[in-house]
Amino acid sequence: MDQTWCPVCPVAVKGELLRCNEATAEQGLSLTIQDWEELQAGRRAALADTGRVEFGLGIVTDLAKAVRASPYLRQDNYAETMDHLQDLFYHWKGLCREQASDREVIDALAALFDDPAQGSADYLDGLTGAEILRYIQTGQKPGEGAPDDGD
Amino acid sequence: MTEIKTRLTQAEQQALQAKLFALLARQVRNYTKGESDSVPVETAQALLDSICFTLGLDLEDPGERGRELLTRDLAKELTSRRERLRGEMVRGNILWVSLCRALPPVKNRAMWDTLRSIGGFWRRYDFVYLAQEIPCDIDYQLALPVPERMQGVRYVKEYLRRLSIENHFLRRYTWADLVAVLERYHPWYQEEVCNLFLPVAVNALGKALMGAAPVPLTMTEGEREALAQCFRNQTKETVFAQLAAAARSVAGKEENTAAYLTACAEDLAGRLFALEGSGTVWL
Repeated sequence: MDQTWCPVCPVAVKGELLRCNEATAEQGLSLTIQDWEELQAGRRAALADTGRVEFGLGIVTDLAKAVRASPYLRQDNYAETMDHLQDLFYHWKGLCREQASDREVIDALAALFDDPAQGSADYLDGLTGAEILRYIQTGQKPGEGAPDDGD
Repeated sequence: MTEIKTRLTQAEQQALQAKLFALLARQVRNYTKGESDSVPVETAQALLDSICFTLGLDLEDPGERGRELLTRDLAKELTSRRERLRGEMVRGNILWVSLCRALPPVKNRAMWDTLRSIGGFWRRYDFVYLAQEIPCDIDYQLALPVPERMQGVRYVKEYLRRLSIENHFLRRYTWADLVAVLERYHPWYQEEVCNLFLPVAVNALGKALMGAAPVPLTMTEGEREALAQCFRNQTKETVFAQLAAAARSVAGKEENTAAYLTACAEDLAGRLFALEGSGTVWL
């Protein structure tokens, strides 16, 4: 089984882009059709990399709503950052071994992107599953409290 | 994805896949309680396998069942079929209870452990999401194993049915009769993972072939030689025919036992033919 088994309607995809841009209009953030297509390609690649299949249109809109207020997002880094965060989302789902919901992972990504990552998605690449789950379950941020004992 | 091979047309394949996809998407949502739109591929595959098992659909060869499902509401069909599985669980549990209450006079650890594990199956079996799985340990091997293609509660029910036939047959004999054969078969038969029915059945067939009394079950040297002589230079078909007749004689009016012994006779005929009628199969 792979993602080709989960086709999405092109009309629904375009509708989703509109919804996403509406959600971030107030912050002056928007994605072009090309950005969106690249995000969809990134989504398919991330799903393949992480051995997952997704039923639905993806998490970009929910992710955008979660990070739109970040002081580290600007229009000139928006598409690239969203691509990186989307990729992280699927990896974190796997790292958390299905113990965290989509909502919890998205909220964790958004919160940690600001602090302690200070807008660096690369920083978030280095987090372990234990650190992510600990944050989701207890609110303890990476680097706080006892040393991490790894995955 | 397991490809939908055909006698369906391309259009039918695509239509069936679309219907299954919609059902699988719903199943994933329910399985994750709406908390996740994505799941590991293995999870999605297992959920799909469960759907197909419950619907009675073979994705490798959908055939007429696939064509039939194209005209059905799959969600309703799935619900209806799940109720059937629930019914099979109830009947299987009843069979399991009766088996546990009617054990043969001889003990075997693998049989006891298997029955104990199947006792937990009724609680662990997930007929909603993972209906094809068999969450229990089945160590005790039957004389006639359940076909591997069977799955889920159907596998377990069929296993219990066959074990029931075997144990019912063993209960014809006293502990002393059985032990005399089993100790020749394997000195540690109580602790080993070995089938108790087959050596007893083989000797019972031998006794019937000679027209001898059914007990004692063990053979004397003279009886073994007489049987070996009986099968020497015979064709496999003749050997089987004689054994099948003996099976019917031993079973009497018990049709299930007759069918089971006859099936065992076929395997035994092969061994006797290969051994050129050697008396070594009789204990």
